[in-house]
Amino acid sequence: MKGEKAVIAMINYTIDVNDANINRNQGFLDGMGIDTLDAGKLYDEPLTGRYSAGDYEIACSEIGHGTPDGGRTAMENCLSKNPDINLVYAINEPSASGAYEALRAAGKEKDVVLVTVDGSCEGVRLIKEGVIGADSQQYPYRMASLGVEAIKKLIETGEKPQTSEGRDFFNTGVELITDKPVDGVKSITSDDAAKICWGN
Amino acid sequence: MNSTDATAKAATAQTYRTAKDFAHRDLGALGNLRRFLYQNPAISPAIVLLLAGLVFGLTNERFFRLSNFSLIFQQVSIVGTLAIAQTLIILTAGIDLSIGAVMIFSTVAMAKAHLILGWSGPACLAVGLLTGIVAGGLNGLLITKIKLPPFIVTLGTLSIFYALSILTTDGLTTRGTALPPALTWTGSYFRLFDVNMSYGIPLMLGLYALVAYMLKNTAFGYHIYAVGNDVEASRLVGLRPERVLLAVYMMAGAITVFAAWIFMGRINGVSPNGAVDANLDSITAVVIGGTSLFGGRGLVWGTLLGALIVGVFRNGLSLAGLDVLYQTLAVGILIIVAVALDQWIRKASA
Repeated sequence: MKGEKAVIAMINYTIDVNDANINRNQGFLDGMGIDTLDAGKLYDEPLTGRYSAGDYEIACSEIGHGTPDGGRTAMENCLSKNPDINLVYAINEPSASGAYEALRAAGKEKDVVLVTVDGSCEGVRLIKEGVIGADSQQYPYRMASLGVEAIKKLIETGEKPQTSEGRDFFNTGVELITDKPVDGVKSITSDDAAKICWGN
Repeated sequence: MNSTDATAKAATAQTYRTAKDFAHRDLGALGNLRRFLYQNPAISPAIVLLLAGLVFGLTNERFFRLSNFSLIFQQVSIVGTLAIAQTLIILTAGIDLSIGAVMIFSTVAMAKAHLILGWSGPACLAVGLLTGIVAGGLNGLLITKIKLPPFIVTLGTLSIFYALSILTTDGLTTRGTALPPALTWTGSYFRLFDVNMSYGIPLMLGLYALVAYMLKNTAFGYHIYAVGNDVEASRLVGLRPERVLLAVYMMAGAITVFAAWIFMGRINGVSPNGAVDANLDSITAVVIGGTSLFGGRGLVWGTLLGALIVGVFRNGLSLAGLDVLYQTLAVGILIIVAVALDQWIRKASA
């Protein structure tokens, strides 16, 4: 974004108040350097203000049901409301791919940065194609294997699992994937991510 | 019965010399309104759509832009097309909960015909059409031959077709770039009044016109209303309701595939993880559009209005910057009002 004003579209999951819906949303805003106020609450952020590199405006908060068709409808309504959107957060890869179709239909796919969370092999291919700009990759297999190991340890030795330092959960790790790395932000390329992605 | 009542009855009987007199008798202001709404089931949704459009247009100047109208039609085109099929089924006093799952399953079949067999676009579309008709036929056979209630049959096939879609794709999306262009053609644009319109819009409107013509001008159309009104009465006048029902479910399956075609264009690909609310959204459109869930009364154009009302509320409330919760809330209230109105109207004698 290089310090220009960020006009943001937020494409959330559903109207449910679930952890992934809130944490991904608030994590994105936090990463932008926007004060999320209560990190457990959606929509309480000021709609305009300063992020770490300039001014921001949250142009819309829609729901996309985490699906491609829902993501497209959400993005269309956002663009109808504010055609100047240049940064899109989508809750997951399917809704990001739908949002991309809406941007393409409006001829804006080159001017807008689209970011999301998942890091499946399918999503990594979308990064390679240039559909998604940046993607936070999670590791569900590691979550499961470490989780089962922790249970085994608990049963055999009675030792309770510890949370990661400074967190109220055990961090199984996350990598930012992008083919357009930015100085000062640690990231991996889509080729690297393809080796460690989940799914087919 | 006392003599005063008898005199009143005699007087009433004398007033209506002909059936026509009886049909046009004065029922008082409220009664006349009810009769008018009974005879014109698309009037109330049309009024709601106009009012909603007016309010949203006055509160946000972006709403009335032609490009925004084009967007609403595009957004409505998938559920709007599914709702045509749903209207036919609800007119027979049935219901189809599997309609969205059949749609997704037929997109998967079309993608597989290309990815595995290497078939061309038109051949894939034919495979899709066949899939839809067979799926609808399966619903129809279970309902007419094994005499299971439509609600239960389609609740079952909903799970079956959803599971089959996921099983055959591993839950993976196929991008439009890997498919024949014919499959995603509905998502491409033409210019109308300087605004981009997708080919899915005229496709949907064409289907509405076709089905409206069939319902109004063909014997089969009248048979659908007759079976929906009263199965036994339709049997007594010589219809074979089982045949009519089976044909309706197969026809609905075929229409579902057109929705599938529009869906593939809109997401530019095939994904088993889409259209999660399409089953219920199609019923919402039919009900808000004034078609009675008890069968036998309703117009397919009303369904288009119903689908547009939902689309206009979603788009308008979103432009107004209201929390998405209010969109969901508004649609819920609309459904209750529409069904309550239907109950009240049904008390009218035509």
